[in-house]
Amino acid sequence: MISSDPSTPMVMSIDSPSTDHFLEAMRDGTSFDGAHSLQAQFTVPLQKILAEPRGSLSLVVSGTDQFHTHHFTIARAGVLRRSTVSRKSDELAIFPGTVMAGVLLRLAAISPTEPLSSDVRVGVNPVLLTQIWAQDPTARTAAWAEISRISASLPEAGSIDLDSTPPRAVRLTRAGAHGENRTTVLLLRGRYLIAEEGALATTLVGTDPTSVSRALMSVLAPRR
Amino acid sequence: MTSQTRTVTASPENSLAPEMTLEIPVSWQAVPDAAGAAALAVYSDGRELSPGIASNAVLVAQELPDHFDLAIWQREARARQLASLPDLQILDDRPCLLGESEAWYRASAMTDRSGATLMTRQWNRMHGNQGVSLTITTLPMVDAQHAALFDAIAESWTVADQVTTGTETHA
Repeated sequence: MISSDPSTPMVMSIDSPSTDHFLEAMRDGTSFDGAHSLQAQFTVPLQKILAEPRGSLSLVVSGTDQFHTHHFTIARAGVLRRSTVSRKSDELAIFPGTVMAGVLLRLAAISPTEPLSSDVRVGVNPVLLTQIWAQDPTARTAAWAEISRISASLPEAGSIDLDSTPPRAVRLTRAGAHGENRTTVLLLRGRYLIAEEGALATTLVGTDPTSVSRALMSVLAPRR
Repeated sequence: MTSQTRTVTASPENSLAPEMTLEIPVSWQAVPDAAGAAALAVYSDGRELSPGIASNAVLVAQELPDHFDLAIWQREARARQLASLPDLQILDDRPCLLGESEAWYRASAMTDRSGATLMTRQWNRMHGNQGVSLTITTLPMVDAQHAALFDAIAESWTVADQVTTGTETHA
């Protein structure tokens, strides 16, 4: 079922099982139950984006208390955001490509905190890091419990409140013709670390919010 | 993008603001009309880094109330920005060292009226009762692609110990 609010015409909600069918119908120009309630300023660019996609990005946010996925289809006509709001509902939104950076920084919720020295390096099992993105909540919970145990080795934050911030992680992936370009960032005990991912080992390296925003934006930028 | 730089000097006329210098790429130019009462000097890349929008560096000085220190000033400035710019997302906000000087650094993202998301990075220092700021504005992707350049501009920023009078010069 489709639902939309006329006051926010560039956003709509849809039952998750119907999302793929809806997007196929919009791309192919066929009918879909309830689509007539959507305004042309949403459906016209949506059809153009689906007809001529030029690239895609995905942003996943995982934490002990949250798990959100956002998929972006990028086209000349704009960007389609498909976000998993809950297990039953997706949100679709369209916005101009010029605000892509702002949307990503908002969804990644990058915020001020104490910098963590790049001398702080924590080795983690690469498999463990993949588990925090698992669809299975039990697997994610187990992975976060282990990462929380590992993060006990980090230096104490200057603020006690900061030290008790719930952990979370953000992964931004750009799919390209020559493979994936990806950045993974974790917020552990209130400070940011960037994952240096290798085939056999992954190291979390201390950093600051400015470097985190630059790492995310580097994924957005075309490869040079 | 050339790596050659030049030193530019902003010497505010009829003001108690200190003389300041910056090292910027030779291709960056002063924007005379943009420097008004608030801005002492504005330097622009003329859209060299990105055709989408000009990257620029702005030097500002303002007289602060006697009881202000760096932390109070920045707390007030942050509150004013958040109140007046509803789309503002503050990304980084903390005291730092610029050379050997105490400074306050803030980075933020905001979507402007033209519908483009801009990245603003600002360094603030106290000079007597003058608050002086260097603000660099660019696109977020350009900030990432040319991080070393923007960091070097910030690190080159000097503020004279003595308040001088004179005119703005560009060496």
